[in-house]
Amino acid sequence: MPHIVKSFDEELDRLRETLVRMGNLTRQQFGRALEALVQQDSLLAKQVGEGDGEIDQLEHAVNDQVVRVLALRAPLADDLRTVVASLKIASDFERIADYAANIARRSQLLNAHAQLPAIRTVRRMGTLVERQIEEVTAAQLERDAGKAVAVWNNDLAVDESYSSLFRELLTYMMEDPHTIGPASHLLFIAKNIERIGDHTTNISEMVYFVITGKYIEGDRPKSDSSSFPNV
Amino acid sequence: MSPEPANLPQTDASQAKIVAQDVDVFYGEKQAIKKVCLTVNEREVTALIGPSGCGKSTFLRCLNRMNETIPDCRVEGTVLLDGIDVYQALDPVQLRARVGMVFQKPNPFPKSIYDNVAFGPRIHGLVSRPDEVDEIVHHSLQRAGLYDEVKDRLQEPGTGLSGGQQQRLCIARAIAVSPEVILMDEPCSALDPIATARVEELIEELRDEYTIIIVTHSMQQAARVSQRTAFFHLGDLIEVGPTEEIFTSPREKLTQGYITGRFG
Ligand SMILES: Nc1ncnc2c1ncn2[C@@H]1O[C@H](COP(=O)(O)OP(=O)(O)O)[C@@H](O)[C@H]1O
Ligand SMILES: [Mg+2]
Repeated sequence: MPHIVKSFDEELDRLRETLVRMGNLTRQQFGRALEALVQQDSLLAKQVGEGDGEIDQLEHAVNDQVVRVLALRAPLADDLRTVVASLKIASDFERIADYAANIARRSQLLNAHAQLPAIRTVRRMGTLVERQIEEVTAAQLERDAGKAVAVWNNDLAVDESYSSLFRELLTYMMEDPHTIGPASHLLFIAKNIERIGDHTTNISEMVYFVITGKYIEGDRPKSDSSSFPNV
Repeated sequence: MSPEPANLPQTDASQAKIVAQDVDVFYGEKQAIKKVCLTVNEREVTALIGPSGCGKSTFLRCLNRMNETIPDCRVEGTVLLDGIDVYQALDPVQLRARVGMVFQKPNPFPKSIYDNVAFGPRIHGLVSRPDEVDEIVHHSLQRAGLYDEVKDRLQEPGTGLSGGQQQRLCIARAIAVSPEVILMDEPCSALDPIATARVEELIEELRDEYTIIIVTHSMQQAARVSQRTAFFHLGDLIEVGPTEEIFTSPREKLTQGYITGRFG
């Protein structure tokens, strides 16, 4: 049901639009960072680094819009949840974009080395996470709580693929110390991707909270990575 | 978790100060309150919200039998004050001393500030000696946060005060008879933001001693001053719960629609 005050609806729509734009752009940045890594494309990597500023600006725009709505409209109930969650969602997207820029930067360093076969696992993991970002943005746009829960549950697969990648890279490094350089770069990249997965999960929690007023029930599924240091 | 039915008393009976059970109110043929069940906790502020005409004032007046002063008004059901049936077992004058009321428009008597406050204690025979009256007037004005502003002009007419001061004078007048419950019907609707803030601060302070029920049209005011909020619609109590929950995640669509400004 629309608000009696139409301009309030317009402001909330604008906020949602800014967030969706942030979501799409963030996913694009991450996708390009992955491609730069896999294709060893330094130029693309550089472009990803340059694209980060726009996402920072979008985060500022969200902050400004939120402050404005809070001050002028004193929103309540689902409106209040939408507005407050927007701040957190924007900050999660901003972090994701930072990690994407980081991955792009590191991929440039990796280009000096021969590619390790583990790049395939990294790509698989990255594609999984990219899909998660896409799904969480859709959940937000379509106000689909079920989709948010699905994203939340899928993070287990991301964690698991990080764990197996960790093992894989460890094996290379033990077998051939010459790979320690590139393998540790890849490991950091994989860790960044895993963190992106976590931020995506945070967003799914916020989206669910906005829609239902509740938190997703139960413990977040965690794979057993306790035997590995939390690098 | 199964949703709590909105129209059942929801709180521990030990803290219940007022319990309304299946209260119906009619003005002639027209039913203004429908089977309302509401428990009001002791030493808490309960806010009643809802669109104009939904029955907030009518319900408030049931609690101290003020509806009896309205011709054609009929109240059915039970209202308990500390477990005692106010319609069966209490005298209305005594009841109104225990359950005081502050109205939308400040309505000081056309008397001095001093006499406005002294009036209640005198007619209820709570005081006999002049120094006792002084004491109550002083204390009530203090408690209402008005004393310092009026101490040098206690003999001037109450109607000469500003709107905000008049409202605090009415609160002092209500307090003077040592009530247990104070009913407030849109007490700030005629006040500017500063005077409103003073009254809200006062409500916060009074909560340690009194049970307060406030009708308000300002969602922000309900959110600021109350611990529990009850939402009325067309004579029905739609939802009651902790204020924080009502304003962040109400259970009922109707509540959500109203408080977010989607209908009214
Ligand atoms: N004295 C009265 N005589 C007849 N009808 C009344 C009287 N007072 C209120 N009503 C009716 O009862 C309903 C509830 O009114 P009220 O309790 O004043 O609502 P609120 O305080 O929520 O605005 C309204 O439909 C109103 O017209
Ligand atoms: Mg009213």
